[in-house]
Amino acid sequence: MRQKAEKGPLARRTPRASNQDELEALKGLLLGEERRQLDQIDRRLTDPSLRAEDLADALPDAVRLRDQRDDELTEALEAPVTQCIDSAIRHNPENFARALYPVMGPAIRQSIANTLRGLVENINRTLEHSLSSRGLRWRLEAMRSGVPFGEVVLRHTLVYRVEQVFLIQPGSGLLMQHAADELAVGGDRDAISGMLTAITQFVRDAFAAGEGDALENIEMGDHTVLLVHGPHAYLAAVVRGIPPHGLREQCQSLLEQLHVHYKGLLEGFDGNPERLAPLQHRLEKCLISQQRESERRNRRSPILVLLGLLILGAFAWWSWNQWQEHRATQALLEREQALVSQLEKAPGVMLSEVRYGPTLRIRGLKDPLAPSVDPLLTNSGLQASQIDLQMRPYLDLDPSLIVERARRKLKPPPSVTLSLNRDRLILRGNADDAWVKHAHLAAPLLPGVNEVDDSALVSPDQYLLEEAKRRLAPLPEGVALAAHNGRLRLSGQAPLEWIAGSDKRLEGLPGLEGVDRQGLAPAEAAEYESLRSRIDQRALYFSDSGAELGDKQQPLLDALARELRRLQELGRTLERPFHVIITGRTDGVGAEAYNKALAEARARAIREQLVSRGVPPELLETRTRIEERPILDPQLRRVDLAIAPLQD
Amino acid sequence: MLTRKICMIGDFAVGKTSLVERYVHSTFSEEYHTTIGVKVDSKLLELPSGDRLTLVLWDIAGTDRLATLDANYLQGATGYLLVADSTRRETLETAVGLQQQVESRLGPRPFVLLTNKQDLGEQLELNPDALRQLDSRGWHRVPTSALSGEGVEKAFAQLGQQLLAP
Ligand SMILES: Nc1nc2c(ncn2[C@@H]2O[C@H](COP(=O)(O)OP(=O)(O)O)[C@@H](O)[C@H]2O)c(=O)[nH]1
Ligand SMILES: [Mg+2]
Repeated sequence: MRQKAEKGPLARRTPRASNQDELEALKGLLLGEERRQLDQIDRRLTDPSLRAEDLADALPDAVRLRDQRDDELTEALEAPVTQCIDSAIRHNPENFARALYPVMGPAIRQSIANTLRGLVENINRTLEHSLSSRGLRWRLEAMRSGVPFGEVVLRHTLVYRVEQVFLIQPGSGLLMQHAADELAVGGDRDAISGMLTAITQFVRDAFAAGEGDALENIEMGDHTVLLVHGPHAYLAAVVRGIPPHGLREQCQSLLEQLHVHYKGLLEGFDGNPERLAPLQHRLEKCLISQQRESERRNRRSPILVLLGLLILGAFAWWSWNQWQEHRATQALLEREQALVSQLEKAPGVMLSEVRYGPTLRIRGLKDPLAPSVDPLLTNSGLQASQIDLQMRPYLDLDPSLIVERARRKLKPPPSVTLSLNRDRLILRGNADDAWVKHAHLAAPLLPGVNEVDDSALVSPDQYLLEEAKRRLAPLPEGVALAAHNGRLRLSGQAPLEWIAGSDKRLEGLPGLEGVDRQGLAPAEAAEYESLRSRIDQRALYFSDSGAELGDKQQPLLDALARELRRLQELGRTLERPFHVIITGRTDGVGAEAYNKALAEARARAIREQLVSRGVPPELLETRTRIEERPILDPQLRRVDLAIAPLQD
Repeated sequence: MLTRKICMIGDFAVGKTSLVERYVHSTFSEEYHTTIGVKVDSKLLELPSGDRLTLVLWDIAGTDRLATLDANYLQGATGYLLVADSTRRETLETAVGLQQQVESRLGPRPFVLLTNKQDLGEQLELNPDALRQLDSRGWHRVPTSALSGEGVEKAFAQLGQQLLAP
């Protein structure tokens, strides 16, 4: 074609003919075939129907060629084709349904399979982590935070995950397009876009950044927002975990591509994100993640682990039961042994057969005089059903039982006590001759007794004295005891309480005819008298002609108050009520009226001091004593105290 | 579905923030206001006609009346709500002045005038003649109360309708 076209100008250089037709004819002659071809080309170039025919021939090859070279064609066709399909579906949905029918079934099946596979993977991962100690920790975390366990697992096993990608219009902050993986936490995307924009604007203004400077990273907790800026849109990728180095470049190049291929759409964005729907799948390519290396390697079958745990659990349960059982039998045996050893020690009991086990079998002999073994049984901690005890009576030669038998046979008077030394029965106390004789005859007939010893028997008064001493012990110091013809004489000093209690203690003393207490004085009375005379002699001195006590008198007041309180106590016990007379005095200087008032003030002052030290006020009576003749004596600046018994 | 950036414009303390709060269930806490000076919320508006529209509401924290005209703030806004406090006469004057400035920045954009705090009935201070004059200029005016909720939905719907009108 090219060669032929170049011949055009050559042809024009041929000598000019006089007339057009001639020239044409000449051309026809000279060029013949070429000319016809030229005409044909001309027609093909100018006639639209012929051109369409040509294009139709070349188009398939051209599309194929371009497609192999790059993505331009696909991108160029994307919008119109989408629109075509869109409109076609709208106008004739039945046709599409029919055409898609064979495709839909498998597509749906595959989608379901994919979802299920994801689910199974999730379950596996969850199971795998449920059984480790770390899994438990994560489970706790999930409970605390209210986040599903699966998500907590993901959070910990992921190095990073791009959860959401926002494409945002820079000025208005309007969301242009958005992609999120299925685990991303929702939230108000439109508001988030606005806030991200406001924040970038704020940072830019606040730090007066230069042209092209912008916020590139926002970090909070385990989230990072990577911001990549372009003239008509900016990209915000929300990453959980540590974003890898390449991620920013990846986002950058995506944003550049978007600016190249969708410049018009981005620039002309009017708030309708649907127009930008074709960008969605490109954004989705950014939703990538990487799992921790070790998490993938260390993959034990959760079923096996579960099985292992089950077996372990069963074994633990069995051992625990064994051990519990062992402990129970051990405890039973210990109780049984304790009971048996107590029975063996008990007087008048002989064991002939003991068999330990769930029930304790005991056979043996028991002296009818021996104390009952029932208390031992009830205190053993064993139940009646666990003890099988059978005892046959026998005579036991244990000393306590020999004495008991002697007491029953000899019937000694209450003033006699019996005891045994080897095979000798010892009589102690006081008894009349007839009984002593009877004892001498009868005792040796008792099993275990060969001799009777009456050397410890005493006269009735001696017995009385010894027994009384024993009963009244401990005797207060200063108390003397004497016995004469069955009468007991107490003398000396003793506390009232002891005196009052002595009657009771002597009650029922065998052979006691009466008690003589004339010589016994209450110890309290003596103390009362000595305190009283001490207080009577007390005087409190005033240093000058005032009513204030000197400092040295304060300890004296303390002592006095103590004495008065004690005296009141004693008075109450002895039923000897009294008054304390506080007499204010003055020296003879000054007018009588003045002196009287001063004396009164002094007496009252002392009264108050004593009351403030715990002496009951009703006990204290104030008086004054004024000298008839004026005596100039500082010794008279004082207050005297006197105890005045009250007669009632 | 369309998304539209809307700015809250008006004197301080007229109730801009309260109106937004009344209207949307906010994602962000009030703290954003004090920290970065702006709070953005969004709300899906469904008009009686069946049309749906996402309003992205920008509310600025400034107490300075000129702060509301910050360039970033207005950028890309398709409409705005002009708020006055019916109990403070001067806030209406401010609103009129702000409206002129916004229009010179953005060009003619749909807006609605909200005369807020209607619940304080006995203290209403706006001059009825002045209001009538604004009405005659073709301003859309809605009496509101962020406290009782009166007129709030209506005001936003009114703006939404204007945004969708060709
Ligand atoms: N009574 C009443 N008080 C309101 C109303 N709207 C806002 N306020 C009060 O007015 C004050 C300022 O409100 P605010 O929303 O912060 O105003 P802004 O500065 O324009 O954002 C606050 O104390 C609100 O409680 C309303 O409709 N009625
Ligand atoms: Mg505010």
